[in-house]
Amino acid sequence: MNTAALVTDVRRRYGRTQALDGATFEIGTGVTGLLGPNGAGKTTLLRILATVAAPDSGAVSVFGRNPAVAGERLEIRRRLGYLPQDPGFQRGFSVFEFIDYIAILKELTNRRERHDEVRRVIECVDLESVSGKRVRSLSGGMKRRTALAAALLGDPQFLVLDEPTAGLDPEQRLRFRELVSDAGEGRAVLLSTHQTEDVAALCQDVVVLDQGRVLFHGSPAELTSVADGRVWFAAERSADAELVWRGADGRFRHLGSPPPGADVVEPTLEDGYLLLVGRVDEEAAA
Amino acid sequence: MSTATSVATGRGVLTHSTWRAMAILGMREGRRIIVSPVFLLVLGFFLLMGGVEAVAEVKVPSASTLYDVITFFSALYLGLLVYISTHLVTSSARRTKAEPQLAASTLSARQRNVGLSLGVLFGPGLLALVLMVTAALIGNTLALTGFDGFDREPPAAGITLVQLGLTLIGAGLFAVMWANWLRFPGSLPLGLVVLVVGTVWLANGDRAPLNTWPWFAPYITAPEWFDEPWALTGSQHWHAAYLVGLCALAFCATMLREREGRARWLLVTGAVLAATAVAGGLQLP
Repeated sequence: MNTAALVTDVRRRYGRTQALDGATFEIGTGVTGLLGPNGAGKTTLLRILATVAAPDSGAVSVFGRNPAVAGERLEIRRRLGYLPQDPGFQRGFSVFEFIDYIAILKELTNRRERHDEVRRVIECVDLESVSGKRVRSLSGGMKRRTALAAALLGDPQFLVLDEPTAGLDPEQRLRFRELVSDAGEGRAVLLSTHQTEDVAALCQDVVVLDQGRVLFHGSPAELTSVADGRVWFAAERSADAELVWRGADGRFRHLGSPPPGADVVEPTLEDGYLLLVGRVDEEAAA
Repeated sequence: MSTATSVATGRGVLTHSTWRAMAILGMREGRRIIVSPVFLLVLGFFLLMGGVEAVAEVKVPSASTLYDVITFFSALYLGLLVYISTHLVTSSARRTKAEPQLAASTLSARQRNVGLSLGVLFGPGLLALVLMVTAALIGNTLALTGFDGFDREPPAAGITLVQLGLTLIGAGLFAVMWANWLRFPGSLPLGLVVLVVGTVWLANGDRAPLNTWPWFAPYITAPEWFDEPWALTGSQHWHAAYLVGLCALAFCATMLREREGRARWLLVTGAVLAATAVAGGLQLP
């Protein structure tokens, strides 16, 4: 695995909140999913990797360069695309103008080259029909795609995406998967999401973060295997299960330790994730 | 700050040049300042009202009307409009929560501020140049033809028009500085109050024992505008140099906003401050 980013014992505190508490992991080429409950520290970690924020302590390296050093940070940014969790848009910009503005900030100075690149990324996110419209007049999903297009400018070698599929319709999500899958070829993509289906469909690697610490780092299959033999269906709700919900067929899907003779089924990645995070929550409570 | 590199990406080789990017950004920001709805609406309103008033009151050829509108409007309102519009553009990323996207871009916050400051030169600065050159041409032409229908005689001297242009640029640079340091809602009106009250207080400060306060105001000191004893004796050229110093100080203060490289900018600021103080002293009667 070619290392794109290395995070070593990174800590970051916001007031009384310890957002990151000794997070350590390595990201290689391909698509890495970052999962975790709300407040786990995902956005803080992504902001640090995107060189937008600095850690209080610990070391971060992207492409072997240290973002704390101005010259090296510049080299990182030249190879980086970042989609923040809540992208904002200044007033008065059309989709094309906004992406062109970001392209200027990314130092794409040749006008023809820059405009070709802007048109390419607009096409990538299917926004050609609204490229002349004011960004602020667009729907939430379209705004998100505009920000995603800006992140794709220059075909970055490291793409940091904070909940990119939030607000996208199913068709757009599939289009997004295609896009990220292509972007992950020979490059590194770090994708923070609450959508475990996206992780299962796209990622070669998964990092689960909880309470600022790395809880799990491995392949989606390994995360799924956390729930091996621990998912079963039953007609009635079982009080012993850690999590229970009624499925579309009316039967109850249980996660936990199955009773003898239970109808154990193949787990999904979501099952593994829920059991992993749930177990940690229980340990923390104990 | 200057680099020109090429980065190999999946799309081939894209050429990066920091200085060119800042210059292009400057042109883009200059346009944003000038086409700001606030700027255009208020500019249109005052130009219309000024024009109507001038035509109604002075029954003279339209060239002198245009001259009066340009000089009065520039001296009284345009600086405030430049300040408001530039502040809105500077603070727009903060107000719209777009800062994280910009922060991850290749141009640093300081370089983006250089772009904004260049925008003040390329936008309001260019506008000021056009207005002042137009006013100078009209003034000279009418003076040559012996026209005496001006509200005030004689028409503004070239150096006064230079000072007027510098006050407009200064208003923009002050806005960039103010919006960078005071990053909260209400920063714009607060800066406006400081700018107006400070300037008026200094410009009307012909007070004992030091009767030279007006020379330190970020404003014009032309004797044809101020019919006061203090305006007749000092150096108008050194006052223009003093205004250039104030513009440079506003720029330096903006550059000091970012922590990285602050020591170097402190040295630059010290040198600019000394030069401005010298100009400020030499302008005095």
